[in-house]
Amino acid sequence: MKKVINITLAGMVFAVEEDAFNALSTYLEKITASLDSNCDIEEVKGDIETAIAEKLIARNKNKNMAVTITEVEAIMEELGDPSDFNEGPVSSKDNATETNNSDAKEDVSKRLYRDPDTGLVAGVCSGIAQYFNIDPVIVRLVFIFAAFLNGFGFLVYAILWLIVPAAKTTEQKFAMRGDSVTLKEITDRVKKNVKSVDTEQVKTKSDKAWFAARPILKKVVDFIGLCARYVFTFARYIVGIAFVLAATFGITLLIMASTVLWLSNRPLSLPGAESLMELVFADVSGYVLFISLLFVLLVPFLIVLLTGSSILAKRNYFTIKKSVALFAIWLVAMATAGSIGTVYITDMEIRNRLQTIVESEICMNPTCEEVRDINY
Amino acid sequence: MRKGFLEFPVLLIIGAKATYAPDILQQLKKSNLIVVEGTLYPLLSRLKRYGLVEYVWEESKSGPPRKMYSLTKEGESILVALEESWQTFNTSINKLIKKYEKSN
Repeated sequence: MKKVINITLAGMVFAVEEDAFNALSTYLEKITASLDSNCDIEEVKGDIETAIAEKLIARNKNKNMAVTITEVEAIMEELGDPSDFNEGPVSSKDNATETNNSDAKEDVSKRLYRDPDTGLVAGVCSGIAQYFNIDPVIVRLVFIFAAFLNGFGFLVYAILWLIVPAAKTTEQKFAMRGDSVTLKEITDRVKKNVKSVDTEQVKTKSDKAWFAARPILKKVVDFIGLCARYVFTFARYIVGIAFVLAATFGITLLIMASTVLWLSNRPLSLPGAESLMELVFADVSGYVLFISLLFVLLVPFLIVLLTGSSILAKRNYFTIKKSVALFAIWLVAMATAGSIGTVYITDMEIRNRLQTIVESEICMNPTCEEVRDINY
Repeated sequence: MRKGFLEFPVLLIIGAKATYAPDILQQLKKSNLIVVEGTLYPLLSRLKRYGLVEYVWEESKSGPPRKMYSLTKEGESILVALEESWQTFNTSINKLIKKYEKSN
C-alpha cells in the first residue's frame, strides 16, 4: 500500500504515488535550476509538464491508475537529464567564449575577395556583392551594362580578376562575408538583414518590381555569365599561347643571333659591322658588354614566357625569389651594359672626331686644292 | 555534433508543416538527430523568443491543450538562408571527403 498524491500537470489531474511524486518534483526543480535565462523558464517548464502529461496519458495513467516510480523513471529517461537540456550557448563558460567570438568578430574586418564558389566567371561580382551586402544579380547587371560601354566593364572585370585574390581558405571566406562561425551569429546576422529587407519592401514599390523581375534577370545574367566565362577562357588560351610563342620565338632568335655573332668574324654584310665587331671583341670588356646586353634582352623574354605559362596553367609562376632574381640579373646586366656601352660610345665619338680631323687635314693637301681648282 | 545544431532540423520540420512538440520529437528521433528529448523545449522557447517560430494553442481530445508551432516570416527567411549556408557547407565537406577517399 502506498500513499497517493494528486497533482496537476498542464491542467490534467494525475494520481501519483509518493516516491514517484518525490522523484518527479526533484526532476522539475532540477530543470528550473538548469535552464538559462535565454528562454522563458516558466514556459519551458510548462512545456515539459505538458510533455510529461502526454506521456502519462499515453500510458493510460490519468484515469484510475496511479503513477508509479517506474513510469516516472521511464519518462525521465526519455526526456533526459536536465543538465543536458541546454545545448546552446548557456553556461558561463559558453558565454565567455561567445563574448570572445564577438571580440574576434570585430577583429575580422570584412575584406574584398573573389568568390569562385558562387561566381559565374571568376567570382568578382559575387565577391563585390558580398562585400557590399547586395544582390549579386545587381552587380552582374552593372558589369554587363558597363561591358557595352566600349568593353569598359569587361576591362574592369579582367583587372579586378587579376588584383582581387580568391577566397580559398575558410578564414578568407568568412572575412569575405564579414561574419564568424557560430550558427547563432549567422542567424542573428540574417535576422538583421531580413528586417532591413522587410522594411524596404514595405517602403517602395520598385522593390516589388525588382523581386518580380529578379528570376528572369537572373537567368539572363547567368546565361551571359556563362558566355563570358567561355570568352574569358578562350581569351586566356589565346593570350597565354601568344605570350609563350612570342617569348620562345624571341629567345630562340636571340640565342641564334648571339651564336652567329660569337662564332663568325664577319657575321653581317652591313657596312661598318666589321669594325664594330672588331671593336666589341677586341678585349674582355667587349665580351662582358656582349653578355650583359644578351641578358638585358633575355630577361624580358623570360618574364613574358613566365607570364604566358602562368596564364595558361592558371598558376602564378612568379615566386618572390624568382622575381627578385630576374630583376637583379636584369639590373646588373643593364648597369654593366650601360657603363661599358657609354665608354664605347665616347670611344667611338673620339675616333669619329679624330677621323673627321684627319679627313679635313687631308683636304688641306695640295691634291685637294687641285680638285678645287678644277672645279673653279 | 548535435550541440548548437538542432535549431536547423527543428526549423526544417516546422517549416515543412506546422506541428506539435511530440511530432517534432518523433521526426527528430526517426532521423537520429536527438537523444535528450528535454532539449527540444528550451530550444523551441528560444526560437520563439528570437521570433522565428510562433504557436497557437490547440485543444486535444485525449490530453492537455497543445502548442501548434509554425514558422514566422522571419523564420522562413532564416531557414532559406540556413539552407543555403548548409548547402555550401555540405558541398565543401563533400569535396573534402571525395579528396580524402581518393587519397586512400
